[in-house]
Amino acid sequence: MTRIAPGNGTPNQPSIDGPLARAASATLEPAAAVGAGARARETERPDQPAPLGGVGNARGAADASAFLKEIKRWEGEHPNLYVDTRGYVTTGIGHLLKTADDAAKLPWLHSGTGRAATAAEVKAAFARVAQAGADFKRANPNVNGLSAKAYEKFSDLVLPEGLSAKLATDRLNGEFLKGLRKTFPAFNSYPMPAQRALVDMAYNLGVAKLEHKFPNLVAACRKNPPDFGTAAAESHRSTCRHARNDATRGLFEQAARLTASIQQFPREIRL
Amino acid sequence: MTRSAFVAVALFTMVESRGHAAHAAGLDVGGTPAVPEDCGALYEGKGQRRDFAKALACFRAQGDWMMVAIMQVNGEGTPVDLPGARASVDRVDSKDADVEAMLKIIAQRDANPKLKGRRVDFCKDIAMTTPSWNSCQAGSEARKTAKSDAQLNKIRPGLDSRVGPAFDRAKAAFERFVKAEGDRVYQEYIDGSARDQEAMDQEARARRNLMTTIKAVVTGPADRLVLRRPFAEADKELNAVYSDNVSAYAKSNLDTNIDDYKTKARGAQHEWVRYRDAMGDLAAARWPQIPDARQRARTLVTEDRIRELRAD
Repeated sequence: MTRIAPGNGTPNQPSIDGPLARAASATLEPAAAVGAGARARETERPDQPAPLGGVGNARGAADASAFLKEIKRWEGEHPNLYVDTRGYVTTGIGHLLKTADDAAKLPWLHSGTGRAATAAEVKAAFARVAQAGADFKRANPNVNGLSAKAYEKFSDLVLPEGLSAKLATDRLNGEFLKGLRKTFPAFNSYPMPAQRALVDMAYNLGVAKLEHKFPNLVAACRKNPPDFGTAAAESHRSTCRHARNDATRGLFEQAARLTASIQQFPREIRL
Repeated sequence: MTRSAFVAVALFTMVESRGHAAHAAGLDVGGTPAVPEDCGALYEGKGQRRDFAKALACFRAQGDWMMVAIMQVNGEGTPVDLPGARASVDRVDSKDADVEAMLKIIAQRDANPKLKGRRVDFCKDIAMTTPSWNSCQAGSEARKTAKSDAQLNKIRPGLDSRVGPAFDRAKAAFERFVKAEGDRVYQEYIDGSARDQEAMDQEARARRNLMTTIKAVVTGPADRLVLRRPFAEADKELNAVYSDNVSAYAKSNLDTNIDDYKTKARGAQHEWVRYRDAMGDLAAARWPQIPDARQRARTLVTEDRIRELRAD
């Protein structure tokens, strides 16, 4: 299947010159306009840990785009319509489309031609993909679900390059970071690894469930100074693979080390 | 079963019936044939002779580069080809934790070329992202469900004409409940990407409880059906737990989701009441010599429900 930018591995570079693609990439500029540190992170190899990052502060609150890499890493990015294990149509970075109308609000393109899809085409594709998921489950009740990529066979519609990231960034800003700053009033002053760990957990569970299901972690982070060592020990999610849990724990441990070294620093100066 | 196996099965069954209509409607299906080859069946040898060479060509043709890479690492349909596998991984669209896992395996094999590594399996070794892991877990849970269904089917023929229909009704009521309960938990986690997984976990929890309760209610001995406390007491506790659950959700979630959650929670609870009563009827039919068998079963099921609501 011809994709907009087949296999170029540069998801933020629009490769179609159509007006919708230009509009979509234009809306991305604020999200893409990240600081030098974040740009440096984009050049990391996936098998290397991200740099430790500095300690945040309330004035220099981290932008959502600083967290996007972590989210993409664990959620994947699929610009086509696909169906989750319960039969709900999804796209992008785990972006749920509750209804065909929700899908029709996005600027879909035909992958082969780059032509913008009409609302009717989007709704038809939504129905076709949902039906494909249901048919599959009925015909194969005891096998794994279809992969996101498999649904490309049922619709050629894709999001313009960069829109998946934009949708995730909007949710990070509009829901998750807002919720985390409410739950953790000192969130912006946490070391970056702790912020990344909390954002990942919130994106995975929702802020409300993070607060409800991880009371010890929440209490440890709310302490003054925060106890990220305890947060690391309390961060295990039963619904995650070990690798993701290990990564989250590792981020909290990095934050604990950073916090300890910062507390140690003035004492050393006095000595 | 690998991811590709089920992908191919689905494509075969679905596209076959839809391909012509899709082309007639002008749907661009990307130039792929209307009926793609069944790569997974070739790879797994499902319903036909396993043919790695054909499977590899098939995965290549369908652009399933992760499966191509897995076969290149495993030396399936090709001699082990680590540079080739790396090139295949480069062609995977989403640069995510699945890709990281595959690159890590390739690097390990590169570093120890003489070491014969274990066969790489998509679900065991590669599926790290939420969508991949969910699809693998869905299959795993479905197979567990099939196993527990088989156990229930073994019980059924031994039941007499009085108990059998009550057993069938309880089982059917449970299936409606577990579906509604999965929907409730999905909605409960609607803001998070773990919504599928949490729903699957809750369904699995309810199914495990069903199997335990069935043993107490049907297979006996009679003293398994103990009355640990009065039904009214358990029922009161359940009402409190349910109210807490709904009010906690309402307090901490976006206003736009609250009505949806209340609807799903009510739906699940209605189905659960029907299931509880069906289990009561089943116990009464199975143990006519125990006067309060119905209440005992209802209490057991209520206690399960309390645990389920507290656990999710």
